[in-house]
Amino acid sequence: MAKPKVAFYWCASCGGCEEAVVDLAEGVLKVVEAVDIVFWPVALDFKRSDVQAMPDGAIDVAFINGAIRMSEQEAMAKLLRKKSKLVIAYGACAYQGGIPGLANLTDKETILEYVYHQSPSTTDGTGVRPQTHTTVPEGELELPEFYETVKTLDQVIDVDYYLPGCPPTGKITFQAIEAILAGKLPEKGAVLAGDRALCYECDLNSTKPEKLLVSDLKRVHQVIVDREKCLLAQGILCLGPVTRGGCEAPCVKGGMPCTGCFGPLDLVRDYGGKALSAMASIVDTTDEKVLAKIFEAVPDPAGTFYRYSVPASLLARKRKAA
Amino acid sequence: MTQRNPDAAGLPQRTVKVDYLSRVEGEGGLYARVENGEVREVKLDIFEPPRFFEAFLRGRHFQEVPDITARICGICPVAYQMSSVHALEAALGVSPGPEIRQLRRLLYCAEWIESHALHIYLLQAPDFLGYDSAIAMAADHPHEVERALRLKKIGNDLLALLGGRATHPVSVCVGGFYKVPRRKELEALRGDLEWGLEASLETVRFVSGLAFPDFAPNYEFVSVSHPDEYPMNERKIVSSAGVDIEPTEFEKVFLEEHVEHSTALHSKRADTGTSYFVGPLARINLNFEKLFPRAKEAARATGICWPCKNPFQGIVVRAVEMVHAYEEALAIIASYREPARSRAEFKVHAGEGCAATEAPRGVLYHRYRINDQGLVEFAKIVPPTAQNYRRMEDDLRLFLPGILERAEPEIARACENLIRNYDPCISCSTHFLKLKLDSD
Repeated sequence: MAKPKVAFYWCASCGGCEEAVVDLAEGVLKVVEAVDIVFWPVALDFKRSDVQAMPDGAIDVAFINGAIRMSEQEAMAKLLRKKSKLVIAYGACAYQGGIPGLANLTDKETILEYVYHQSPSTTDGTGVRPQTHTTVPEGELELPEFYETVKTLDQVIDVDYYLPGCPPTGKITFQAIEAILAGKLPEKGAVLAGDRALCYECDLNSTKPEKLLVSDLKRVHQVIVDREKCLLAQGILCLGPVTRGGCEAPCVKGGMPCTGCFGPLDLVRDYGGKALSAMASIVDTTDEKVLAKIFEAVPDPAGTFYRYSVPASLLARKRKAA
Repeated sequence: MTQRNPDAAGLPQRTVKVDYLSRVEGEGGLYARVENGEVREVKLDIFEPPRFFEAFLRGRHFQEVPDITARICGICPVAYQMSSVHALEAALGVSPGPEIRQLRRLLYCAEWIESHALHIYLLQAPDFLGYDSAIAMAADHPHEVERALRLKKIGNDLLALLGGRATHPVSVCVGGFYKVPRRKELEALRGDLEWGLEASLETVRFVSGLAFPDFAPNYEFVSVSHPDEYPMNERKIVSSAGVDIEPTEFEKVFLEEHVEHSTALHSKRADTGTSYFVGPLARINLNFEKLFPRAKEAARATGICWPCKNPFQGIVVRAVEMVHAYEEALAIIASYREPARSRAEFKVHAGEGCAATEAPRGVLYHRYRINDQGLVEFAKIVPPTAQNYRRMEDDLRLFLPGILERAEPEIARACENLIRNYDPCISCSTHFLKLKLDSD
C-alpha cells in the first residue's frame, strides 16, 4: 500500500503546533517513515503552486493549525480542503480560535488604528498602513486582507476531526496519527482526545472534596499554592472541571491552574459560559454583594473564561454598538 | 517562478518570484528589481497574519501577560515570557533574588538549546548540504538528524522541568516562578546535559566544515550586554557603532516604521535611519570574552576570525552558543540551591517599565504600562525579526549583484538561504515572505 500523503499547514499561529510535531522527537522519524509529507512550509521546500498542481483529494490528511485572521488563511484552508480527503483542525487556534481570537474583543478598525497609528512607538508620522496592493514600477505587490473577525477553521471549511491543545501534546498527536494509519477513526466531527474532564487525570483529584464550595476566589499569583491539594479546593481559579482532559495536567504539575486550552467537553456548546457557570456554582454564597466582591478577583472575565475560545463562542466577537 | 514582462522602454524584464519562503518560522515573500545589473529595489513582503498582541493585551491583568505573550512564538516562548516579566518587574519595582535570576538563565539556556538545535540541523543545514529539507537529509545523514532531535529533546526536557511544559511553559511569573525544581530533579538531567555538551562540540566541528559563500557586509551589530555574563536576561543594550544605553532609552535610539508592503513593522536607527543586525552573530561579536571556556575554545578552533561579519557563519555561532548553553546549564545545576521563596512579594501599583532580553534570534524589547489595579494600559513589543527585516533587505541588495549570472531558480534559492541566516521568526514579528526578482 502506498504511504498516506500528509500535509501540515499553519494559519495565524505561533509555530508551537509545528514544535509539537517536531517534538515527537524519535517519534517524528517513525511518522516520517510511515507517511509521505507532501507539504509543510516550516520544514520542506514545497510551495503553494505544488499544492495547486495536485489532483483534488490527492492528500490523505491535512493538519491545519492556527486561526483564520486574513484572506490568505481562508484561501489556503479552502485549497487544502479541496486537495485533502481528511482535514484535522490541529490545536486550540484552529479548533476554537485560540489566543489570537482574543482580538475579537475589539474590532479591525480599532486594532489597526492602535497598532499602526496610536501605539506609543508610532513615531514616523506617515500614517502608513499595510496595503492590500502596493504599486511598484513593475506592477503590483499584494498583501492579504485583514478580516474584521478572527475565525475558527470550521467557520471557513468543513473539518473532519479536531485535536485540541495549545499546543496539542505529543501523545494525542501520535495517537491520532496511529488511528489514521490503522484506519480506526471515530465518527466525523470528533475531538481526538477522549471525553473526560481534566480533573479525572489530575494527580490532585483525590484531594478534591466531594462537594466543592469556596468562600473566596483567588488567582494563582495571589497565594502560595499548596502543591499537594486540589487548586480549586484552595479557592484558586482552575478550569479543570470544565476542560477536556488528554493533556495529563502538565500545568497543574507545574504549579499553575488549568486555563482551558483543551476546550470544552463533547456536550458543551460554549466553553466560557460553562466555565463561568461552574465557577459560580462553587461559590458558597447567594448574597449579591458578597458575590460581586468575590468576582472582583476576576478583573478580566472574557480573557479568563474565553482565553482560547472567543471565536468559537456563541457571541464570537464584540458586538457593535447599536 | 519566472515571468517576463516588457518594461516601460519595451525591454524584456526578468522576474524571479519565490512566493512562499519555506523553512523559516512564518510566512513571507521577497521582491527585488534589477536594472543593468544594479539592484534598484528590494522588498520583503511579510504576509504572516498579524495577530496584534499589543492591542489585545490591553485590559488584561499583568500576571496573565507572560502566559499570553508566550503564544507569540511557539519556538521561543521563554523569550517572550522573560522580556515581559522583566519589563513588568521594572514597572512594579520588583527584584527577584539571585537564585531566581539563575533559574531564569537556566530556562533561557533550555530555550537556546532547543531553538538552535532546530535551526542548525532541521532548517539551515539542508541549505549547505544541498537538500530540500531535513527529511531528505536524514536519508544520507541519519546520525546528524538523530543528534539534532536528541539535542533538541534535552532542551525540551529541561524546559518542561522548569516550566511545566516544553512549549508555552506555565511556571514563569512576575516576581519569580510559581514552582521551582528540586535539586534532585535537576541532577537527574546531568547525564543528558553532559551528552549534549559533547554533541554540541561535535556540532561546532560539523558546521564549521561547511562551505560558506564569501560575504561580509559592514553591519552594525546590536545586542544586550552584561558586565559579567554572556547576554541573556539583562541589562544594557550596546552596538558595534558605539551605542551603550539602558533599556529605557531603546525607543529613542531604535525606531519602528510602517511600510505598505508588509504587515510587519521595520526597525531602524533613529539618528542615521540605517539598518542594524540582531541575533547570535551580534551577540558573539559583542560579547566573545564572556562565553564559557569550552564554548570560547570551540569558537577559536573553528578558524573563523572573530569578530565575524559573514552572516552565513551564523550557523557556526548558533552551535557555539549551544555549547555555551549546555555548559552554563551544567554550571547552574551544579551550584543550585532551592530558593526559600519561589517568588518575590510585592504590592501592585500603577507603573511603567521596559526590558530587553536575548531571544534565540536576538534582542527582544518589551514595554508595559499598568494601572493601579494591575491591568495593562499599553504594551509594546519589538521582536528581533522585525529589527532585522531592513538589514535583510540591505543584505539582498549587496548579495544579488554577485549571483545574477546564475540560473533563476538558483538565484531564488540563494536568496532564501541568505534570509534563513537570520533564522527569521516571522510569526513573532507579525506578521510571511515571497521572493520576486525583476531584472532586465
